[in-house]
Amino acid sequence: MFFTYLRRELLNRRRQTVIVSIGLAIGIALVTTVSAISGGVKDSQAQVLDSLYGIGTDISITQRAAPGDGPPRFDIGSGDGQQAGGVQTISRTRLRTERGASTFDDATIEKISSTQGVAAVATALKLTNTTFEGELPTFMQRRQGNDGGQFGQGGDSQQIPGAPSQAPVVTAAPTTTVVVPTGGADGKGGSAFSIVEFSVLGITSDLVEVGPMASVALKSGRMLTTADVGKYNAVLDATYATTESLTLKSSVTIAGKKFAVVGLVGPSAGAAETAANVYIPIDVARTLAGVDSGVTNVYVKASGGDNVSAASTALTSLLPDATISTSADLAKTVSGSLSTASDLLSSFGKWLSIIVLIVAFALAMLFTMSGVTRRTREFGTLKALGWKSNKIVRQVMAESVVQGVLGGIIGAVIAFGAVIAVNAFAPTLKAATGGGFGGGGGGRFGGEGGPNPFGGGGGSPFGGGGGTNPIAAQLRGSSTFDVVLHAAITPSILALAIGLAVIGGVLAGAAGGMRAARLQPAESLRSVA
Amino acid sequence: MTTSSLYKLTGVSKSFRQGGKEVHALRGVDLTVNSGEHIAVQGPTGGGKSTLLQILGALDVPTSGEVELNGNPVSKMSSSDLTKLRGSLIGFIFQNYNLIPTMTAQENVEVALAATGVNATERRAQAIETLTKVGLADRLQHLPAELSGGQQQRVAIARALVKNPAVLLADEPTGNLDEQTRDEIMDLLEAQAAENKITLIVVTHDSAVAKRAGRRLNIKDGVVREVN
Repeated sequence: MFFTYLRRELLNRRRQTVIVSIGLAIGIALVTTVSAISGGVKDSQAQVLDSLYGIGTDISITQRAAPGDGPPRFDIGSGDGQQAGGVQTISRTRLRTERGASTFDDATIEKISSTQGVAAVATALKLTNTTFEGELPTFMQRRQGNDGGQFGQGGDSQQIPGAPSQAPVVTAAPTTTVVVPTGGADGKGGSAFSIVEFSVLGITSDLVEVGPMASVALKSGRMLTTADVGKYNAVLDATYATTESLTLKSSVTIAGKKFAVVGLVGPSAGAAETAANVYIPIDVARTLAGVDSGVTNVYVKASGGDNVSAASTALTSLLPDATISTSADLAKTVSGSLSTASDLLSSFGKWLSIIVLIVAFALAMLFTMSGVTRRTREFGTLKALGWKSNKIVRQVMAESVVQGVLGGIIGAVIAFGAVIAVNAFAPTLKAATGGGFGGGGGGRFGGEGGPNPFGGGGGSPFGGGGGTNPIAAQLRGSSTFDVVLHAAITPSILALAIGLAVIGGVLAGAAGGMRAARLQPAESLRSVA
Repeated sequence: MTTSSLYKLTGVSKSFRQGGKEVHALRGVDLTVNSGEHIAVQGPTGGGKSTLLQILGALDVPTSGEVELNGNPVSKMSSSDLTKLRGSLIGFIFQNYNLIPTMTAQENVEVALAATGVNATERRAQAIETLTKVGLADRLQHLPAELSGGQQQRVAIARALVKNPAVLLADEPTGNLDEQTRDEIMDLLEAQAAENKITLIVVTHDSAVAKRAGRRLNIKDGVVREVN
């Protein structure tokens, strides 16, 4: 009788069934869609983090720089470079650890490896290659400018021995003579110089499951191996290579040394770039950067997802001066539309879903209670016939739960459609990590802009500010990634939909059932008895 | 022919508040009903007919006084025991039939047996047999909306009879029917009650129906009187 009654009620009171089911379906479809898109956004964030951090890396460790560590500085003497026609041409290259980063020694790495909760450790030496190139007026030209009084200022005119004889003498006023400077980049005593930077990662080839090399894929050539130790061989980020028109047959100059390009790598998924522009053997990197030993970056894989927090805490105790960042910390530093989407979903989307779900539940409860009220005589008759209250409550509850499950299924179908639509639209989300110490760079002073492989951000190597994001600093000055959003309804999301639907049905059934249970048979039949 | 007492009401009163006023629906009713009797209850609207029927049907308990049904002290029983009592001893027939609109005629009859724990096969067989007795063998799978008023009341009678109750309490069973159908229904009710030795208590405004009863009661202002 239970199932017969249930089937008859659901089929013959279709309007009630459809209204309650559709109401719940809308709420559940919204929750499911938001959950699926949130999952897609999280996956996108994970792609970005994997690309930055390395797949399998749970914790990244860097050491803050000692106070007073200044920006890169190039000292140029009056006799440096080539001088011709009043122009001094300078070209300097320097490879050094990034500003704000210092190194960990081998003993510290050993302690990190033996910390509880740490399963594997990878290391890298993060460096920046900075090239200063430009044209300045020669020493004599600069003296002429200073002594002669510039640009209309007063002072005695004086011919400097060795100055170009064609230097014009302009009579600016009856009593004042101004000597216009010559030489330099513009022939008028001016300067033009450019700063070009790219990131260099000194790596070992023994562990690729953790760290930045875990998230790169070989595009062409080969990866660095133990055979490359001590050799001037380099692997390039494919995007950087394209930007700089470099190929496998090219060479790249680092700290004034020519490196043979043996491989090109790209991100394994999602991101546009890998963690550095150039990868070289760590021993060569140390030699050229003047770093005796140690590494700037330590990448840790925890022994389990649940141990990340505990391992992070233990490492913080072990290394109080270090910056210890988990993937959750790193996620907070990601900005751009990906971050906006994440924020939107976690705030507006979440609350919208909750409100719609509450409204759907409330409507289901109201409709069920209203249905019980309409069926007062029916339930009164059943009680008169000897049906116990709990039998009637069970019947009402079952009807609501089935309506809830129907709502869940319809909601899941709607959500599937929404997710397919989102995926067909394939929105591209941008993610950016903020500029760090010395990030960006590439600005050209006094002339045309120079090459900028990093895509903006950051400050000037000449004591410039820039952001102080230690996490971004440990990876790239700044990086941007385009990630295509792919939402997916997973079994857990499906279970959530059905679970919520059943909860909605149970709540509605409980509300209706309680009302049915409270009905007194005499009162229920009063109008007819 | 030996008769035994089915109902014994002693000093039964029922009062309740309605619209802020105390209503005395029954006042010290003393009544004995023997098994197999056919009783008609008449009286003006608001006289207490409905309340008396609810007390007799174990749908309500008196404010004071004693009610015994087949030896069971109804006025002292729990709600759960009253439900069991209704399920086993009492059959109800309502003016508006009170069929479940979403169920077929056969299922509506089965509903009465579902409360007593009869298994599905037996339930189905008994429902079909009873509906056949009331002349609805060809309407088993019809929904109430697909049946005439007379047919719906026949289904309600089958539902009341199927569990072979000790008493049938009929509230205006022909109130919505034309004269011909009224007579058919009353013929059916009386025949089934007689055949199954069921006590039949009919509340009616219709004197023609009342005159068919072996015993007539009139209730006015909560006081029951025998009509000779």
